[in-house]
Amino acid sequence: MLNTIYSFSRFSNPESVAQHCTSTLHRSGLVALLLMLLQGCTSVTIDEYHARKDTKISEGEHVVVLGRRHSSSYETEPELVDCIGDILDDNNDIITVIPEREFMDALYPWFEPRTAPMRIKDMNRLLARKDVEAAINHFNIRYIVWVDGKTETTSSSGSIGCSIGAGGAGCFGFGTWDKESDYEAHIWDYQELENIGQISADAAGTSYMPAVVVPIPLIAQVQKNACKAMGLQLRSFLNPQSTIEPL
Amino acid sequence: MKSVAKVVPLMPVSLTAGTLTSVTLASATTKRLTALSALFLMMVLAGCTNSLKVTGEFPKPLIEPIPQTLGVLYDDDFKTYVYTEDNEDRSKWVIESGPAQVQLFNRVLPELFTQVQEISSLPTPSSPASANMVLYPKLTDFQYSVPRETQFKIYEVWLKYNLSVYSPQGVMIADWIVTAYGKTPTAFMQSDEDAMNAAVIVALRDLGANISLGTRRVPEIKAWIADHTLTSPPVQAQARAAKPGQQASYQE
Repeated sequence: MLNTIYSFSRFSNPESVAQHCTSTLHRSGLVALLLMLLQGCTSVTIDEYHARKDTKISEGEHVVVLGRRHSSSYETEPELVDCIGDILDDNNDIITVIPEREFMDALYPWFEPRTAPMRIKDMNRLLARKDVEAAINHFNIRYIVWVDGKTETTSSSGSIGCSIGAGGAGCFGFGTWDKESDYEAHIWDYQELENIGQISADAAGTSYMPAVVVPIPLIAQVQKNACKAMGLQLRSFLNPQSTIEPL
Repeated sequence: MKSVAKVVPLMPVSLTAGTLTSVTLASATTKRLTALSALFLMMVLAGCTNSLKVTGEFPKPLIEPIPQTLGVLYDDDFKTYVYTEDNEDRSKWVIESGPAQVQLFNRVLPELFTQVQEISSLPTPSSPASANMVLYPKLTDFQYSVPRETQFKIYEVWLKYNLSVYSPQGVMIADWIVTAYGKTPTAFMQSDEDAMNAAVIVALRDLGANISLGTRRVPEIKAWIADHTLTSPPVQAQARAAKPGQQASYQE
């Protein structure tokens, strides 16, 4: 607010004010653009466990990625599940992913948080029902991937103050926060009814937000990077012929 | 990270000029600014209440129907249910879930029973229902929590229903409680209303799952269905007539 008043008293000529604002805007835009190119850093750790070595998927067989939602204190994010499915589905002709919502709606109410099978042997109970078996077979499912976990903000510090007045608005300050993702995927072979392995992805990153008039967020894409790492690892797990691309 | 928003009083800049014209202009500006301030204040105050009409879609349950016809009574309280938070210590929520819960029941019941029709009043011995059973659902409790109350980044909703089933003559057959729970995580750029809507829809889906799978397990319902299926001559005859490998329509 004080800065705004100062500017008006300094530039009594309207043209000078306009020129000053234009050049300031250009400079601010350039700085913002440069800062947007920067992102907070994220580190991702992937662990993989194979219960069986000969994993394969044939053309025409499908994969469904489902989120676990039985915990009382968190919920596996639907966008994370969609993101893993998208990465698994992209850039290959072998793996086709059935959207989570489509699968759950077709199998309602057998894959709801209250009723979903928690272990592979629980599938026998479900498959005793011929209508359920037929509905799953309709999708020609080979693998069911259960994803469980969450992304949370673990710590934050700093402060940003914003003011608004007749002359304009602005923010000043600096904030930073840490995020951690912890996800685990269990892979079930639906045709053989066995748990064939699991993959875990742990990611951590720090985001920053300096504010000089305009807040500039430098966001660490923690969940997105965990999703990408998990998706690529799953693709390699289910189709060992595929190569893992760098993040 | 803390963010502090400060509203600075608005002041007309040209008020220092001494002429009548500038005073008139300043007065007009002041009125305009006052009106804008009042509008802004009203918007801020309106923003303190979260108002929501629950909307969503429910899938058909993949279940075998109970071989009974059902009449269902939705009273006005049920059809137009609105939850209004009146606790001074909580944020204000007005959640209209009546139409959504009717939509859920209308989606689930036709798959759970062979035939369903909506009725306008409970049957009596003098005016019996044409259906084999009559269901009268009531929502007895609606609770929610938001992230700022629990410190968990999820919106949660709990629903408690009282389901009563009557015979065609209006005699109560069964009366039981069904609970449902739904939650949804916070998401970037998602409004409070959208998140709460998603949590209510998940809770209603849970209710649908509970009714779909639990109704036939209620002992009184189970006994009543067994008695009435076995003693019904036309259905028994139809069952006997069914050839091996051919499923009779009343069997599960």
